[in-house]
Amino acid sequence: MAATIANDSPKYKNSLICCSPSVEVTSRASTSSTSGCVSADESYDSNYIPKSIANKKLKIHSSATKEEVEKAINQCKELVLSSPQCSDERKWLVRYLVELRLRLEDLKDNNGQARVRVSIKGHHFEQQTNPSNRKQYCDHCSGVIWSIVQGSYICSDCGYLCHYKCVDHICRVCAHVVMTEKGSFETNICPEKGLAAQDYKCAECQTALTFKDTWNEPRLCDYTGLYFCATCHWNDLSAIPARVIHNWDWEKRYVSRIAFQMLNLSWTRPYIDIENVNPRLINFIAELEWVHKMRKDLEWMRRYLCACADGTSLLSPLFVQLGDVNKKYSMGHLQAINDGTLETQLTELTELCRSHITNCGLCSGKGYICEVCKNNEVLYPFDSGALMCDKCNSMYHRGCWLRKGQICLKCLRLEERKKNVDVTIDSTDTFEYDIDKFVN
Amino acid sequence: MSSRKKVLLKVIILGDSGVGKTSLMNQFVNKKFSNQYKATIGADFLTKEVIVDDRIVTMQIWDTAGQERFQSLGVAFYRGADCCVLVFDVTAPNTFKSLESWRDEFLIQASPRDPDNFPFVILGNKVDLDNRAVSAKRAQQWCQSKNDIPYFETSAKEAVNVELAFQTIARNALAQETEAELYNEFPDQIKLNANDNGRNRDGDNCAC
Repeated sequence: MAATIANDSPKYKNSLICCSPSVEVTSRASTSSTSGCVSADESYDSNYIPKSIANKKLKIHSSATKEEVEKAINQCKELVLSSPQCSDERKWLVRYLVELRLRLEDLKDNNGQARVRVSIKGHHFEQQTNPSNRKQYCDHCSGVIWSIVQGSYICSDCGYLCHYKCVDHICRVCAHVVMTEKGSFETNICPEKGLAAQDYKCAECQTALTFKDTWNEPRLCDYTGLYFCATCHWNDLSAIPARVIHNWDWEKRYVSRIAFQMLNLSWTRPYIDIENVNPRLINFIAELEWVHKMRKDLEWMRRYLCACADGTSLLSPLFVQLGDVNKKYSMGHLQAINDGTLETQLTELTELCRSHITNCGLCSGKGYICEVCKNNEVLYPFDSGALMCDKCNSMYHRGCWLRKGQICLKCLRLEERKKNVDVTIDSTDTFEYDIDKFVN
Repeated sequence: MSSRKKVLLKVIILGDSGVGKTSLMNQFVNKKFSNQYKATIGADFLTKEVIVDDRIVTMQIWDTAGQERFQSLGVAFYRGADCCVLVFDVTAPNTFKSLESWRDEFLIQASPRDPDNFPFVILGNKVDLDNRAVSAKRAQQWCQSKNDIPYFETSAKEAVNVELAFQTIARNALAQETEAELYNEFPDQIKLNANDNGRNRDGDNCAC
């Protein structure tokens, strides 16, 4: 699972390049912008800190004093003012400013002691007071967290774990922030561009990467299509949304830590609009087609249940998720469709709701009678044996509809009446016509 | 148990630029007012300890720059807010109109657990000026239509209603905070019990 690497390996030190206030950083940034590398078209690029923040003077170390932080704040303010409005650079400068201010407040509160809360790069770190019994690894250096002797922080939003000593050096922006601001999954299957597009550097910590180096081989993340070093890519396995949407391929593949955290966080969020992204999938996957049809039925049922005092209690969380007009799916739903659990859950749910609607006086009163045979059987829009005219909302038995030549009788009646009205208009004055229009 | 813990209320002040967000905060915390306008950069905060219902709480009041639109502060900034204060200028109808979008954007970014009941407070500032353009009735009506948001007419310059408004803000924020705490502590309690059980069993098994 997690790569166990010696705590203070040289590789670990290298991986701090991003945070070390050196000339290298600025030069790297300038070369990368001219060569138009990853940063230009990469999907979550806006979540990487722009070069101005890697500025030497702005950076503060973990044991910075009050004065140093104050100085950094003032410099950051100047940078904000000099940056163009609505730019990514400004966005991150403002966020950095907020973090600095929180840091300053923290210094005033408890001088020199370990900080209880740290906000950095969108994370909200809290001290981990009762670590679990499982062995934990630092997300930054991938070393073991020895919970008895080493303090650790955990991000309350994305679950990022790290040592006290690592917290000021972390490179990864909080996965919760990235996913919430993006609001969708990557829909291209492993959009790989190759190492050259990344300047032969890890996409997260900027460690140099080559396939010659057997100690730190580049690892491909199947979700982002980017290469990572072993500290940022632990060979976590996950199903990939893009592969599911396009190929219904549920095989788990290796993903980077950031992708793993993003996928885990967003697993139950309704991000996938199958009807728009890949409508043909619905025809190919029978289970999906069935669920899709069920959702339409649920939507009808919802209209009945919402208006009934007893019925609203049937609106379970699952109902609310699936019986909504926006037809987006979460990865969790798709997975449940694939392994069949959603089918059984949905069958139970629809049976329950159906039995309520047919037995409840209020709900069944809103049912329909077939326009053709007019027998006493009550029809509902969610019945499979019934059809609804999409113009006038009258209902038919499927058989009756076919027998009558697939023509809506009510629509015919309405049309005839309209003709009659038209005739009367010619003879009478327009005043009466106005009233008729309202009656119709 | 929870009352002994230090309570920190995160309050965020939003509104168009120049409506007096910084002035209101300064008046409340420092009891000072300056006629000079100086645009806020990014975001800044001041803290003040207040007593609400016999509890000492620390208000962390975040003053934002009216020009910075939401995306620059972002999800992380708004997360964990306990109350949102929307300010408009009673002499400028446009600032009143944009309240709606400030509110919507806040709810999108902060995504509170219960958006319908998240505590907002509306402040109509600069009532000391003569050229008033938004009537109290109109503002009141809008607030009522939005799930009865409390509305105050304030003047940061003359210190009218500022104390009262922030008292309400603190009270509503505290109510929100305690609710959130209740919600949060459930899983922990279960964990604690599990630990206790384990320890007891160890005690029983101990040979000495």
